[in-house]
Formats: sequence, C-alpha cells, structure tokens
Amino acid sequence: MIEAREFGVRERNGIDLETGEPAVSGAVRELAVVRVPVLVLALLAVEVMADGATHDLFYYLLAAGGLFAAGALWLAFSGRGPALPWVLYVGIDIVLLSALLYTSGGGDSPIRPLFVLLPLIGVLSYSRYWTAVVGCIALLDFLVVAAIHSAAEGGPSVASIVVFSLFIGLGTLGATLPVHAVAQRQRAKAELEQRANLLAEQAARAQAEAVAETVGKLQRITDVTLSQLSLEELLREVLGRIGDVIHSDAAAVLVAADDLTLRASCTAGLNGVRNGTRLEAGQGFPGRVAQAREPITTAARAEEDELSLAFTEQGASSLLGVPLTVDERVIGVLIVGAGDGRELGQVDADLLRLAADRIALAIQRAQLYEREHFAAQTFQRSLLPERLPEIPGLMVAARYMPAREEAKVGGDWYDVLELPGDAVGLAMGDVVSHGIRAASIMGQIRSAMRAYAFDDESPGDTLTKLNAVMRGLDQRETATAVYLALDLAERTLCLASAGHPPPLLIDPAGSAELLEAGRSVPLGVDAGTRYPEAVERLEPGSTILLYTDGLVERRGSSLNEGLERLVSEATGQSAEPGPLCDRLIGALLGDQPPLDDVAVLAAHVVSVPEERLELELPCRPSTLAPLRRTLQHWLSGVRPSGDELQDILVAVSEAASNAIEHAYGPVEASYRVEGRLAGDRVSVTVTDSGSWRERRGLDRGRGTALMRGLMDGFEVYPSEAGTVVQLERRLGSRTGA
Amino acid sequence: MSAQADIHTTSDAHGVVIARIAGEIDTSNAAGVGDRLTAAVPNTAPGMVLDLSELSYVDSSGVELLFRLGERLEDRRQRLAVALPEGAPIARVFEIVRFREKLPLVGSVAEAGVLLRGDSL
Repeated sequence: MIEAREFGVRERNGIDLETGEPAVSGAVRELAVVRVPVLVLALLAVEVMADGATHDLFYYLLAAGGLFAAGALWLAFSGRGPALPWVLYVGIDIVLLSALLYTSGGGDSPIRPLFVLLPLIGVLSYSRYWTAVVGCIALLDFLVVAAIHSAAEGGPSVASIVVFSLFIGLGTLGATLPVHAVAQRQRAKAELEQRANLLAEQAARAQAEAVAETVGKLQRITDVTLSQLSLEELLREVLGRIGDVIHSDAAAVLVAADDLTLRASCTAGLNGVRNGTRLEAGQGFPGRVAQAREPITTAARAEEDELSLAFTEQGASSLLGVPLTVDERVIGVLIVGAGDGRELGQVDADLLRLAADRIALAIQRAQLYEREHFAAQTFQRSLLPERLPEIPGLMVAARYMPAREEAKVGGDWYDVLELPGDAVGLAMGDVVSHGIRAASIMGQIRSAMRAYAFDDESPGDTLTKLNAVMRGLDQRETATAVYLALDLAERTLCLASAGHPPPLLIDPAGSAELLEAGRSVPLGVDAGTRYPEAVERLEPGSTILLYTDGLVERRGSSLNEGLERLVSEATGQSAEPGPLCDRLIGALLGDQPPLDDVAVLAAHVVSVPEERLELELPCRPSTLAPLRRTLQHWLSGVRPSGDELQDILVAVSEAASNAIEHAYGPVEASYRVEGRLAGDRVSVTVTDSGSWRERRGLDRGRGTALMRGLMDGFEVYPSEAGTVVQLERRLGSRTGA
Repeated sequence: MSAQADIHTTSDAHGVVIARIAGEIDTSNAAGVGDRLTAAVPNTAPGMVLDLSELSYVDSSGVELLFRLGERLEDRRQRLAVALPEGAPIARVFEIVRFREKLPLVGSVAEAGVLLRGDSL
C-alpha cells in the first residue's frame, strides 16, 4: 500500500480517514481528470468519421447508457457497489459502448476496433500505471483522428459534436466509475480486514502481555512473602512493592486483632498514623471494606476515619481498599491511595485482590511464626535473671543477644549469686541445642546450679553434681558451663569450667588474660567426671568477663583467632562492666547479627579508695549483710581489732536499719553510707530521706543505745529532708575492751 | 541478700532443747530465725538453751528476737537461757543492752543446762 493515491488528504490507501470506510472520491477525481476528456475526444472523432449516418437506435442506447451510468454511480456512492459483481459492470459497459459505436455509423475508420478496448482499458486502469498507458494511447488516438478530421470536409456541426460528446462521455464515465469504485472498495475492504486482523492480533498480544504483566506484578508483590520475614518487615516490604507496581502514593495495612478491631500495622507514605491506631469493626473506610469482603474504591475526601484523613493529608484523592482474607476470615485490610488526579480503578482492584490473597496467607504465617518465636523467647528470657543483684564492692552487667539469622532461641544462660559468707557466684552456660527444649534444659541447669551453689559447694563440686543432673535428664544433652566463686574479702576467685570458653580476667593495670585452668569436659558427656577447680588472685580494680562462644565464633575464622581478638580488644578495658560488654560485643560482632546467641557477663571488683567509702543502697534489709562485707573490706586496710571491727559493723548496721525503716511510700528509696578514714579515726555517716524516730516494736531505743555504746561519737541530725547519723570511732582507744 | 543464720537443734537427757545458731542475725532475717526457734521447742520441753558461740554477728534486732522468744516461752511456762563465751566479739552488744537483766546469759551450754534444770526442779 505504498502506492498511495495522493489526490486528497481525506483518504489514504483507499480508506476514508474520517469515516474509516472505503473511499471513492479518489477514483472519481481520477476519472474526471484523465479519462473523461480522453473518452470525449475519442467519441468526437468517431462522430466525425461517421458522416452523420447515425441511427435512431443510437439515441435509445445513449439514454439507456445514461440511466445505467446514473444507477451505477448511485450504487458506487451509496456504498452498495459490491451488490453487483464488477464483471457485470464491465460486461454491460463493453456491450453498450460497442453498440453505440456501431449505431453511430462511424464507418470504416482504421482505428475503430481500438474504441472497443476503451472500457476494458478503464477496467485495467485501476492502477495509476495503467491510467498513464491509457492516457498515452488516447492522446495518440486523438492526434490521428484530428488529422483525419481536418482532411475531410463537411463534417457535423460543432454543437452536435459537443452534445454528443457529453452524452458519450457521461455514459462511459458511468460505466467505468463503478468498476473502479468496486475494485477500490474491495481492495480497501481487504485492507481493512487485514488491518482489523492486525488490530485483533495486536489486541490479543496486548492482552497476553497484560496478563503476563499482571502475573509479574503479582509476583513482584508477593514473592517477598515467600521468604521468612518478621511480620513488620514483611508488611513494610509488601507495601513498598505495592506502591511500585500500582503507582500508588501511600499505602497501609491494618491487621485484625483478636477483638476484631483493626489496627494499623504498617504504613508507607503516611505521616501521623501511629502503628496500632485502632478502628472498631465496621468503622470508617477500612471497616467497611472488611465488612463488605470486597475491594472498594472511594474518593478520599468522602471518608472521615483517621486513616483516610491521613491519606487525604498526604494528597491522596482516590482510595482503594482490599480485604485480606484467609479461609473466608478477614484478617486485615490493605488500603492504597493515589493522588494527582489518578483514579484507582477496576484493574488495580483486580490486581490487588489477587495479591491480597497471598499477602493474607503470608501475614498469617508470619503471625504464627512470631507468636511461636515470641513464646520461646519469652520463656528463655524468663529463665535469665530479670535484674542482677546489687553487690557492694562488685559491679556486674550482662548482655544477651539472640541469634538473628534463623531467629532461633538459644540455650545461653548466666547467673549472679550472692552466696553465704563473702562469696559471690558468677555462672554462665550454653546448652548445645536450640529452641524451647534448650531453654527448658537451661532452666533446669540454672536451678540446680543455684541450689548447689547456695549449699556452699565449691565450683568443682558444683559442676560435678550438675553433671550428674544432666545425665539424669530425660533428654540426652550436653552443655557447657563455667562457675566462678569470688571471695571479695580474701581477694581470690575459684573457678571450674565444663568445656566452656575460658573466662577473661583483666587486671587493674589493664592486661587481659584467659583463665585456662580448672577446665574439663562439657556437662553430660561422661557420668564419672570429677570437675577440677583452680584458684586465682582477684585484685580490686580487676574485671572478669564470662561469655558464650557466640561472641568469639565467626564464620571463616577459627576459635583461637576469636579468642585472640577478644584478648586484644579487652586489653586496657578494666572498667565499668556495662560499657565494657557493649564495647566488646561491638568490636567482636560488629553490626552483623550474631550467628549464635550471645551472652556476656562482666563483673568489676571495685577498688575501694583507702580513705573514702561511698555507697548508695536501696532501702531493703537485704542490703545490710553486703554492707557489712563492704565495710569490712574497706576497714581491712587500717587493721582494726576483732572487737573494733565488730563494734563498727553493728553501729553502722543499726544506723542503716533505721534508715531502711524510715523509708515509706511506693517509690523505692535509698540510703547513703559515707566513710572516712583519718589517722586512727573511722567516721561513718548514714543518710536517709525519712524523718528520725526510734524504731518501733520492742526495740525501745536499743539500737540507739548500741550506737552510742559502741562508738566514741554518735550524733543524729534530723531535718525535713532526711536524717543524718554520724558515727565515729577511734581505733586503739579501748584496749582491753 | 539477707543475712544467713543456720540453726542446729538437739535436746539433752532432760528434754531441754539446745539450739546452736551459726551465722548472722540482723533485721533481714530476725523474724525468720525467731519463728524457727519457736517452732523448735515442743510443749513438753522444760526450756531452751541458745548456743551463740558460732554467731558472728548480732544487732538490736537479734536481741529483740531473743527477748520476744523469752516472753513467748515464758507464756508457755518454759525457760530460755543463752550461752555465749566470754570475750566473744558479739558479747559487747549483750552488755550494752543489759541482756542479763532480762534473760540468763552464761558462758557455756553446760552452765545454761544446769541453770534451767536447777530452776525447773
């Protein structure tokens, strides 16, 4: 169809550009420009040669030809051309013209047979090449006839020639035009059909592509849901992808809680919507979607619930809500919003509805998984000490990090025990397996360990008994454990380890050393194991670090490398336990989540300054015994006699008991103990925030009597803010007392 | 943590309960120690001897518990005697609160036993 007939711009390739119908105007114009003059001239020549010998039949035939031409024209222009086969037009045309020629008496012209060809040429000339050929022949013809005419004298009048020529021209025109028109219409029809086929093909392809795209979009929205993400991560990811695929500006997922209220669980592109924003059942646009169980599109402005208002605020004008259903139960609602005049329509709704089914399943799975994981984690956490005891003279801190990778619950545990006498127990262990089972074993070991430790068993004996406990458990498990008993007064530590990574001791100068002594096989390996123990010096100012292997194990490096790194990172870090734990975890694990769960426990032995002692203790009777240990430790430098030490301990304890009794109210109060050593003078001040009074019950001032009697100086300074008790004792002043 | 006190009870040929208290007594455990001691004396026993030779610490709350224990036993027509070696570090507490004015305080369990038997006879 490159061979376009550029006679007008309304049509192209035989198709009317405005109506899309086959066009005939091109053919008409062509005939008017080229063929009509040629035919008129040719028939004029015939008449000239006929010498006026025209039959009456000629005129009848001419009239019939005119009618035929008019009818054919009407058929052509009314679009009914194809009602008659084009062969019929051509046949009639040939017969008519031939009859005209013979009845016109155009005698013996040598070129006469050529005129019979004229209609045929008309038929053939539906391409522009044939039109040119016909034009040339006709021109040649005209020149020959004109030459003959000028040679013959006495021809017909000019007027008769003109009229006759017009009749003949119109007749021929009428005969050839439909042929043209029909041919062209058929070509155009074929072309239209072809084009229609092409369009249909394109439409089919587009549809197939659309389906593929929809599937692809679905895939993009939901493939993420196959991976194991936490609910929050899952929702955030899904919302992000929905935004990319639907080209929405904001989106939110509301998840149904147990009480059938919807809570905003995750939003994207929305400000001002708290997670947890509640919508009662049926309330607002999301509630309506949940009730309808069908996707709903709405204008954002028409909605007044908190969520829709937030969408409006972000410039969303069109909202689409899709219910998230699992087994016909609505577990949530997905809302997307689009602004900038974009309307969310059926296509988006269909796509989201498909995606919603998968999202709902993924949400349910994530919820279940989180619930289970949360239960296991809660269980495990419940087995770790909620808070560590406050031990005068010892600062302790612990950190526990669950393994992130497979979100598994580990079996790491630790404990800090205030033991009878001057001892403090530090324990840590790691059950080999994972999950609820590991956590339960860990709980049993921890309880058994506490029991033996309080029974004053030495670390070696404690582990030996724990080993027996492990062997007695139904589940055959092994576990590592390390147990240290610190004697703060004697400044020693005794340790035993059952296959646990060696504790780290950082001395006051900052040099770090792994305590390799006292090690044996893990618990549960061999029933007959007797666990050895080792004793080490524990200077004030040093720090002990217990940890599980998760701290020193890294993919692609050996355990020894990990231990070396730990030692080098810990060197020079004998300091506050909390920051120390954080620093070591940061240095050894970096930002990577640990492969295994990690427990770290650090204890720093406070070096008591020689002259000053400052303590702040909670108002609980349980602080009295540790307070006495600390005082004893503090006074050891000035070597008081047994009686002197006893007197000071009793007096300070009495003052502290008063302070504890003074503490009332729901807020836990604390009291302060400040000691000063100046030469042979020991002075201790006990301050509380209550008002002074004698203790109740049968005490009857015995505490006051003791303080006065045991000390050289005893003063009470009561005030609004609290009570200050000042005690003073000169050492060596009561020899023989 | 609370102060620790271990109580070990026996009885002599006359049914006198002898309770040896080792460890410490302060406000954190005084009430508990008092209850345990009260429970250790059957109604049939003529009395109780407290052996404080291994008690390393006691303050006014401990003294108060002993006085209360004495009163409770007295209500039950039973006697209480305390044995504490002379010169023990905690002895000064008993001196200052004038313990002897309320309850018998002697140097040894044997003396206390004799004292109780003598009284009851």
